[in-house]
Order: sequence, then structure tokens, then C-alpha cells
Amino acid sequence: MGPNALCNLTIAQASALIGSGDLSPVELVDAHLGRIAATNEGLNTVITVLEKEARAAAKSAEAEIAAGTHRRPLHGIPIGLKDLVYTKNIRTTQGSDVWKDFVPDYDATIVTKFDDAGAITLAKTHLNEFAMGATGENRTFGPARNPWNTTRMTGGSSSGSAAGLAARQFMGAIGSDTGGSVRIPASLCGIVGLKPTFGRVSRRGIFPMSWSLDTVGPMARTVEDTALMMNAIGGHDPLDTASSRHPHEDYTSKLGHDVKGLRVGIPRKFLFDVIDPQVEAAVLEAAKVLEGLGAIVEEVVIPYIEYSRPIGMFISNVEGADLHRETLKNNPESIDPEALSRLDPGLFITGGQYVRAQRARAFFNQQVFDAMKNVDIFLMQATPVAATPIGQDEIQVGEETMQRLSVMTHTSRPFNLCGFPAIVQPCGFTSENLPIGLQLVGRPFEDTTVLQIAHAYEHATEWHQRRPKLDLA
Amino acid sequence: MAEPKITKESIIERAREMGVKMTDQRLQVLYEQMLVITAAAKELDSLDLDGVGQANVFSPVQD
Repeated sequence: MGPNALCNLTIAQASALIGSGDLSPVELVDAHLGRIAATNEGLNTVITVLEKEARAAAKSAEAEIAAGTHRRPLHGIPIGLKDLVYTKNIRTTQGSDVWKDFVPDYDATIVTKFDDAGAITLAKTHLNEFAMGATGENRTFGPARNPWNTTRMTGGSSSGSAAGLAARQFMGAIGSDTGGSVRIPASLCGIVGLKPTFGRVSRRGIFPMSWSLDTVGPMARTVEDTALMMNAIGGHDPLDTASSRHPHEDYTSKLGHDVKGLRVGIPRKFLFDVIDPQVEAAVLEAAKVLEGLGAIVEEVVIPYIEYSRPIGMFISNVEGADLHRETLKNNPESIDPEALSRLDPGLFITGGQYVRAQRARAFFNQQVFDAMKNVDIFLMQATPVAATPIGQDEIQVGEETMQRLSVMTHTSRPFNLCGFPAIVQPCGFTSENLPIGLQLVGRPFEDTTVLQIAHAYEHATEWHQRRPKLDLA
Repeated sequence: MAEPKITKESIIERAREMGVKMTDQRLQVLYEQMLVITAAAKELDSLDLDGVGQANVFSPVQD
């Protein structure tokens, strides 16, 4: 099998080949390092390539497997880590000029878990500065470019993880999601991204953005691969105060189960007010596909959903500003102007306003929970539009011109507030051949149901099999 | 909840109290953002939150 074919394998396929002795981790890592070398100049998805470390780990995995110890399914599988995941003795830039030479002295919990599973980290991936932004644009490292059209943004903030997966630079990746940072780039780059239930994946050693919203999630090219990654990284971590004690489970357990009788709610109010017609058509077609598989599709209303925007703004601004307080006071010019414009108000929001927002959040969360009592999932667009040109700050949606951040987070942010699990997967392409993303949102700690329905949809369609045409010269 | 009216002068004063350096450009961007924040605060004030606690609650340290 040639290197291009190796790069197109899924994690599940590669693991089976490694297990049968038909594929070596060394070959697999070589192929992906070659892909990074061939594409990174054009795509700018990787900040640090860990070539030496990855080759050494691949040789070690090869020897271990040859000796009879195959820690499937991630053993020997090349992955990328968003460059805010702490890696011991390896620089972790947070996408920031100030932090560009920072070298952590410990590994994030998820890095330890990936090591235990035998995964091989190839790359520290591109992100918006401090994960603040939905664009993949970064003044220090330049913009990441969308493999489907390199003049278009990748979405962010987990820009390099999503675009690198679409470009087949690695087989799985990690992102973090505070207002949509796993799901937005997954949507714009045509891959799968899961924001698990809040607390299911440890955040120890992940540079924070907003303590009560930050969620770490896996990204891959199929739902099954995403579930396999969750199996490796999920579980309680006593070193993360927000870590859930909910029992760890097998996230692949419901894959392949049919969806007959499951109830799918489409919450049109507010969420569908901002949507491109091509995106709307693709999302409603996806609902029909699930209906054809036996699911019961109905419209639902999430009361007060429009309050998610102000609630999220108060909470993320205040928590983010406190994290960067000293820099905001003493060295504000070192922060990207877009990030600065979002952090600064957090210094001036009053304690009363923040508490009010946290009470409104509790009220809002109850509304979402109640709205989900009669359905198993909500179905909607992942982003209201497909990837827009790099650098374009305003987006035309229907007759309205809106700020890019407001548009991109329109359907993602509400589900950070309530912490419900949400998955994004491709559900079509625009007339310009840009991916369209579908978002499925489940009940808290019912991540396996979300994966089940996403898997059923994926197997009934072929969108996930499309690949961007890359210049591999 | 009555909040003080936002003006550029009030922002400068509070920035001085906090020791935050404020250029003209930074002030202009912040002022515009604070107008958005003020409008958002009014939206949240319109909710009836009687009997609703905070979403982030205290929990004692446990083993």
C-alpha cells in the first residue's frame, strides 16, 4: 500500500492492519510525516512537527507489537494535538507570540492517556491565539488554510486539527471547545468533531480559556474513529476539579445499532433564523435520511434559546479576562487585537452582572433539558454558512450582514452553556464544493446515543468519503 | 439591577483604578464593546430568575 493510500485509512482500518501484521506503525508514521511535509507550507495547519519523537515512538510500537503486545486500537496511530495541550519538553505555544517558546514540564492528562494507548503524536496543531476566535486566523503564525479551498478559512479555534485531518496529515486529533472551537472547524473542513458532555474528558494541562465552559474533544474522519479516541481519553481525573465522576463507558457500544423509534427534534426557533439556504436544505435532507432509517422527526422549541448569546458573552468575557489579567494590565499590545477586544470588557463587567449571567445560565440550562424530555437528540446546522474567505470580518446571511464570530457560534455556543454532548459531521457540500456540517446534540452523559445516531447517518450517506484535492508537489 | 451608565470617562476612571493602560484606540474599541455589554445586561435583567441559583455552585473539597 502506497503512502497516499495509507493516509486515507481510518483509525479502525489501520488498527486492523497493524493487528494482522500487514502494516507497520513505522510505515504509517512515515506516510503521514510525508503528507505533512508535502502540504503544510500551503495549509499552515501544523505549528510544530515532532518528526524525531514520532519516528522513535513508531519504532518502539513496531517492536512492541512484533513481541506480541498490541494495545489496540490506537497503538501506532498518528495523531495531532491542538497546540494548547501541554506536552512535556515540547513547546506549546497557545498560538501566541508571548508563549511561542513555552515548554511545559508535564504532560496533560490526555497526553498520558494517549501514551498509555500507544498513540503517536506527530504534530502540535494550529489554533487561534489563546483559542479565542472561530476563524483559524493568527497574526503570529499566519492563517491556517482550508484544504477544500485554500482561500477560505478553516474555522477555529481548533483550526489545524480539523484542516490537518481533512488533508490526511494525521488520523485523529484533539481540539478544545468553549463556544464551538471543535465543532466550527469540523463543520468547515468536513470532518467529525465531538464536544463530549462537560466533565467527561480531563482538562488538566490544557491551557484554559473559560473555566466553566472549556471542553476537550476528539476529532477524526469517521464517527467510529471519534468514539475510539473518546475511549482512550475519557474518564474521571482527580486533578481536574470539573472532571465528572460519571462512570467511563465504551463509546463504541451503540455503533451499528439502528435508530428506529428514536426521536429527533429540530429546534427551529432562533437557531434557524441565521442560515444559508444551501445549508438549510442539506440539514433538512439529513433529517429526512434519519427519518428514512426509522427515526421520528419533529419540530421542537427551546424556550429562551436567544438568551444563550448574552449569557455566554458575560461568562466567557469575565473568565477569560481573569486568566489574562496581568497581560491585559501590563502588556496588552502582546495580545491579538481581536482577542483583546473580547477580553477587555471582562475587566469592566461587574460582579453583579456575572452572577446574574450564571443564574440566567442555570435557568437556560433547565429550559434546554426540559425541551429534550421528549426527544433523544436535537438536529440542526453546525454552522449557518460554509467556509468564508480568510480575512472577511462580516458575513452576508440572507439579507443580513453579521459579524463573523456571531454567525459562526450561532448554533454551537448554546450547548457549551448547558454542557450537553454535541457532534458535528459532514452532511453535504455547497455549489462551491465546500463542506456543510450537521450538528446533533444529546442529553447529558448520553454521548453514546449521539455517536449512535451520527454513525447511522454516516453509514447511510457518503459525504464523509469525499476528499479535498490537494497539491502534493 | 441598576448599572452605572457607561461613558468613555467612566471607563478611563475605572481603568486607572485597576492600573490598566488605555490608549485612544483601545478605549474606542472597549467603549463600543461596553455598549453591547450594557444592552446584553438589560436583556438578562428582563428574565424572571426568582428562586434560581447560580449555574456554578460551590462544592467542598472531597477525597
